[in-house]
Amino acid sequence: MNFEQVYNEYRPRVYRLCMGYVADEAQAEDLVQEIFITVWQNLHTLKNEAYVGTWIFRIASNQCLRTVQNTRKKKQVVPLPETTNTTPETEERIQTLYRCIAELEETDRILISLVLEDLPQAEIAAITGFTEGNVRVRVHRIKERLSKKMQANGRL
Amino acid sequence: MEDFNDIKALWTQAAPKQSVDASIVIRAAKMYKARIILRTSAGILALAGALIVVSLVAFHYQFRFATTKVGIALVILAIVSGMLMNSQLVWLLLKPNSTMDNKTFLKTIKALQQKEQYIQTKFLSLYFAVLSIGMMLYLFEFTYGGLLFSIIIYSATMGWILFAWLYLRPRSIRKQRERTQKIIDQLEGVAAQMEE
Repeated sequence: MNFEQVYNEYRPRVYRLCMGYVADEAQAEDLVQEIFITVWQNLHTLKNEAYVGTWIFRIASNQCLRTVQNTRKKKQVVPLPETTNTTPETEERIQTLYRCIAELEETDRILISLVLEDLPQAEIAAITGFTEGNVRVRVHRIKERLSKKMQANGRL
Repeated sequence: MEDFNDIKALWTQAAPKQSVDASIVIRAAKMYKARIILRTSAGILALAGALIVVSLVAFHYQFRFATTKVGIALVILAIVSGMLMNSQLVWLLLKPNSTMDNKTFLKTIKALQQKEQYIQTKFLSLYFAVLSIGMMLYLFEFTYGGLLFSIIIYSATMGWILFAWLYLRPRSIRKQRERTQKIIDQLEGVAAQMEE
């Protein structure tokens, strides 16, 4: 399997997962780089290409969970981006969304980001190690909490 | 859920600010690999160098007592193992597999942190013990015969050993333990969120 192809396809998705986890541009970029270094090193061990998404999201979420010692210490404010393709208002809403997700518990951040990436529950269960039933219950609860947070921030 | 659909629509609009080419990541990965190889080679070279020094000293100098040779070997052994531990070479062997699911991964890294804590604690005690015994044996030949001289030398050495054993060793162990314990506690906090 070609690394460049995998990288180009999954970089934006992995980036969103990392931003939802840390809500910090620089830290997220570092995480994305670390994740794809691990992907590059282990790509030859991937047996079934059909599972590349699950495989990459496992690496990405594990890498995020490992940063727990750094992220718990400080809650950083996301600076406004210098250049973007979206309107300033949309960009601000996106940054608020990242911040709201980053305020959740660590495992909830991962779960909701995978849901937002439109992954099926069976795949989320395979990535996180939860049962499918548990994923369903948790996701329902997190969706409500996130919607409330966004409403409280006047972003919905 | 209408609200959540809005969130989802917003999420899909988010994209990385920077465009980083795959070749940059590949270059970084290769540099990382090169650093690991360099670090591993440095560790092996240090070990090989120490073995050569011990062999040269043992064969070249005509010590009267075997205790001197054993003493030198022990001191060098302690120094080299200290260098290897500091080079993080050992920890490379304990690197977790990051392609497992989150739950198993958290359990694995917690177990690895505990193992690291255990190894560091045991290693430090063993390091100071071997270094101290090595020094005592080494000095034996040079102080042999002169009672006052040997009392002075051995008192000074014993003083240093006691200082290292009673102050430096517990201090290093405590610092390392605090660092790893903090990580273990935080990992436990995340793992507790995964209880079903």
